[in-house]
Amino acid sequence: MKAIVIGSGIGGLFSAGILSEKGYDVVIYEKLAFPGGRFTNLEYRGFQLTTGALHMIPHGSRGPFAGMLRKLGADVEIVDSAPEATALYNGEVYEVVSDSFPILTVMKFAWEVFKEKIFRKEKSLWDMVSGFDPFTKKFTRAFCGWSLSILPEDMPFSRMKKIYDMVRRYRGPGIPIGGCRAVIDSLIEVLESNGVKIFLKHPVERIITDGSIVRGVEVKGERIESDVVVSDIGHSLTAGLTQSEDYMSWVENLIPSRGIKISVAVKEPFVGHTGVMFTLDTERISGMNEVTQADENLAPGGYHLVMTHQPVITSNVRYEINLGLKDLKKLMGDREYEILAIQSYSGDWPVNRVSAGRDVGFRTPFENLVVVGDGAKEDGIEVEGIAVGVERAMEEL
Amino acid sequence: MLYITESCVGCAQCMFACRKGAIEVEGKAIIDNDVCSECMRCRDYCPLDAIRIVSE
Repeated sequence: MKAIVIGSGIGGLFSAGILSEKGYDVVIYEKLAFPGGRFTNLEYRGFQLTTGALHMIPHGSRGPFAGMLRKLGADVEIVDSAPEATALYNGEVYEVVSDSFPILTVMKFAWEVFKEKIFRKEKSLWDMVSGFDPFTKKFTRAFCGWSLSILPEDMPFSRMKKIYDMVRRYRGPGIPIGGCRAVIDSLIEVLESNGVKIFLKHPVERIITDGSIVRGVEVKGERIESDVVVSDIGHSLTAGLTQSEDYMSWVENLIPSRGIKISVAVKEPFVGHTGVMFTLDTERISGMNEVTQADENLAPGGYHLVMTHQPVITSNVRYEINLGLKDLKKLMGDREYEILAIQSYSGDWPVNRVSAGRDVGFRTPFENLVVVGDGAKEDGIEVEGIAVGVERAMEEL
Repeated sequence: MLYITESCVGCAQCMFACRKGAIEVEGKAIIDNDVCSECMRCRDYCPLDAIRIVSE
């Protein structure tokens, strides 16, 4: 049996790993000159910046993502963050633990969860927290911005409850030693030993369909037959490749989530730990991490690498970047810092191909074509949701 | 001469790929064609096919 994987992002590589273990003959076609998509390193002046992800795995060594790596035999060391998170609020840093929230808020939360269970009335996360204390409200906003790149107004509470339960179960983040690229390199090593072939600079031009099944793909004008096709490029681009009107109209309304990442070099540690620092006093920046706290080789000697993340709220990216830069200036005060890069994510190179809470699953109108990656996540933060999505999609095939 | 199309989102990957330092990103990529040697390495790194070559 032959399987073709379109795209070598984390979802594509995970899928190729599972399929090759099931005995499929797997070929991956990657459009770009490098593998890993939005989950790999970009080297710049000795700093390991990234194409997308912020060198962080949402549930560290305990979550579904790390479980998938272990299952496939990929050897990656993940440093679990300690503390998991702090919050910068009214100029003070607080460690975020369950005690950080006022007891009244905890009781109100329990009541809201109970009501949701009984009445099943769909509410946004924001509606749900709007009667809470100011710290909890601001923290909710920062958490949504950092982890999901959305506003709490756009997050259905029922979906958020699943993420909340996952955080309770698997705990907070971790940082892979060597960054995102270490994960990609080690997965590729496993894949190559399983006989998987990866072709870089080979964009798939068409998915060849026949009624409700897929026959293969067209690459560089050549027709390549396959029993199964896994697409890691999201529903919208996949639908375009099939040229199926039905599929294209089904995915028309999928909204990607947008974000801005600012990579900053500092000499003195700013975050000071391996976890996330949520920023509650800012206009746009939701939080930041300092990955060099876990792996000093992610920056040249004498430097720390800080990465901030913010969602994009208006349609004017320049304006959003300026608000982020203003936030950064305020946060850094009179400290010395240097901006290494400002990267924005939207359209066909977004934070998520489908916004958190609006995921539509891995199925397509074609029996042997599934979509994986951030365009077809299951509930779960970022790459954790990707790992769960891949698992479900592969079971189906 | 290279130019950047409307589909550029400003992910900055071309900036990192460029060996000449001919690209800056401010919301979108900007190419300095006086410095650019048209090696087209940037195009291999652009996820959005936003870099085009035109004859002057």
